[in-house]
Amino acid sequence: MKSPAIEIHDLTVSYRDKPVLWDIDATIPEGSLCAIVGPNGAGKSTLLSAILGTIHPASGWLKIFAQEVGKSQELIGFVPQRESVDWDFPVDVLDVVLMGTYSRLGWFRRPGKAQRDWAMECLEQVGMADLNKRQVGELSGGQQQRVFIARSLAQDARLILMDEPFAGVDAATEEAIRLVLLDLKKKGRTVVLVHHDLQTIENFFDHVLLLNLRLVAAGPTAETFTRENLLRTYGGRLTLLDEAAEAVRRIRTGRSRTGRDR
Amino acid sequence: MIDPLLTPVAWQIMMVAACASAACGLLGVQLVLRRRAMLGDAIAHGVLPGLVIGFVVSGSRDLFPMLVGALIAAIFVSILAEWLREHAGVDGGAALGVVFTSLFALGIILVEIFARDVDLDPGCVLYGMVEYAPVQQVEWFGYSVPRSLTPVLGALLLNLAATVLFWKEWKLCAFDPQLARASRLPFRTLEQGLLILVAITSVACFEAVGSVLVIAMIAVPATIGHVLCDRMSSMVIVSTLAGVVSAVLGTVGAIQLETGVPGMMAVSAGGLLVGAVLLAPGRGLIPAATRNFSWTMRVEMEDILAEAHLQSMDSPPDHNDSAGAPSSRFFRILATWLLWTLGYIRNGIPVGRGERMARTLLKKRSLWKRFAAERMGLASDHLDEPAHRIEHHLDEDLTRRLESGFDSEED
Repeated sequence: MKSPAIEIHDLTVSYRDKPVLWDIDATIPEGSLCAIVGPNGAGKSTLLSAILGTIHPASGWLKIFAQEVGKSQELIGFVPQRESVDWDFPVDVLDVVLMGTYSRLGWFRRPGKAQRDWAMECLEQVGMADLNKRQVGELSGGQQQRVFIARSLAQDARLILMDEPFAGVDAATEEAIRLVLLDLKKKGRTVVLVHHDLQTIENFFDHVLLLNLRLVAAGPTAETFTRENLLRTYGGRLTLLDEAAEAVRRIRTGRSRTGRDR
Repeated sequence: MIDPLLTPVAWQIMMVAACASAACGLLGVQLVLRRRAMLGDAIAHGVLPGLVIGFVVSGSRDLFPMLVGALIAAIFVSILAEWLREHAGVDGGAALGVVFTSLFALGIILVEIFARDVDLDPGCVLYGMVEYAPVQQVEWFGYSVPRSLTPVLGALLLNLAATVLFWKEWKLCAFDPQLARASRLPFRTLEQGLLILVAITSVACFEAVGSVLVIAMIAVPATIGHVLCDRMSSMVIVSTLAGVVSAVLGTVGAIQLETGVPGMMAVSAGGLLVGAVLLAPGRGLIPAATRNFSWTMRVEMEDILAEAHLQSMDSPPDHNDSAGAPSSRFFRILATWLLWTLGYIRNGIPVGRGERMARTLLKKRSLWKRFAAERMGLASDHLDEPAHRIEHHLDEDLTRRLESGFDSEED
């Protein structure tokens, strides 16, 4: 039995008074390729942020390699959603990948030759080494995605989170990302990613987490990724919990159901 | 005409203005990269009541009490804006706008109330008094320099040190806040440190150049750098230089036109920005338009030559696009005239270089048609149109590969 990479216990996250994640309990074993699946607004990216430690839960806790998030010294590799990146930022491809080496460098030290060589190696892995001098805004969507994958490789972390790495990429990039993921798995790294393409899950991921505000199901793909669970994730928009959340919001804000928001 | 520039007074004014601009420009880069140049605006305005209170309490224009007051006010601005955003549901930019305009107005009222007792007037707060910089002098290592050079140079050195020391940390915070926070960087401290530096710089520069200019010098030179540069390092250098150049142009211009230096500096910076947007190599409006125009002309000229060549060989015209949009007819006439002037075409027949161009184009056209038909399996009535578009884009390398592509499997 492997020790879990991520342990989530009774996690609730809310923006203002609106819960976006509710009572999540899950464990993700070390060395697994785990997909987080769910409809839009299900809180998938929020869950990633909670694991990263960039937002604080309203209640419950999260542990990464048996250490609490926030107190943990564990490095987490991270690939952001493409829309959240400022592509006009004056950095070239190598600069971005080098950012992956920053946290190991420590204060006041600049990346040197060793870091640059390592970054180039990571770029090589995603087939982007020859474009290392390009400004990131001049790349195609798929190439941009690969640069960020290379950056997460450069971080050399035991746990890597990716927010929709397959969204809107070309076939070559999809293949490159797949190979990288398989390679990471071979090295025993844990990769958690938000994923949309339900068709590819069964053959590729060994762990899934079905999410729709609350956890619908989590576990090994074979047992968890069932038609019934998918229906519960995507079907029936207003569940009892949604109603409860809505009622709490109404009371807290003092607005009636027919208020401005609805 | 250069004479006034050489007077020691003008040099001293310019030195103070240049240091202030460079100090603001360095921080401006960080703010512009975070898309938060507005924050510089807010803090530069919002520190005013703090400045005045510090000034009144100490009863002098000593830097230290004013600096303390301003820092408190700056922190107050960011906390209040954050609070409004959280609890009143106001959008971040609007919250800042509300906070800093209110505080600034409060500051102006305070200035007017206390102006009777102390030597401070709203005009000097807004526009500074860099022209009077040389009046008060201090001794530095045996040199006599303007008193206001001390705080401005201090701010410049401080910002320079921070930019160099926290280079990679600030870069990461600006580019990817989520990763910055995840990689154990003290994200909040770094960002608040930046705000505190903005506050210090506003205070140090405000006496010299006024709060209006502080805002201009935070936003404009950094934007120039952003327009011109692809790397953060070059952006920092270009932004700082743009600030210094604005200061020089502003001082010289003000002396020539006998107007205020800060106003002239802001105008010069704005002019530089317009110049950068228009002329930036590669992506500026004028280079882009030139590139488009020369490309259109090349396509037109090649088309005319190829058609003329086919006609002179008594081949049936390959395609006809005699009816075009008025704009393309304009380009066509221009292209015809140009071809005639260059001597590429005589009596409707391409000659010399013109003939070679026509042959090359026709060769590319047939190559592409063959490629499309044999490799992509396109029907014969689908071949002409794309070939006419693509033929102009085939450079020598691609043409060679197309030619050899029929033999080998590599493509």
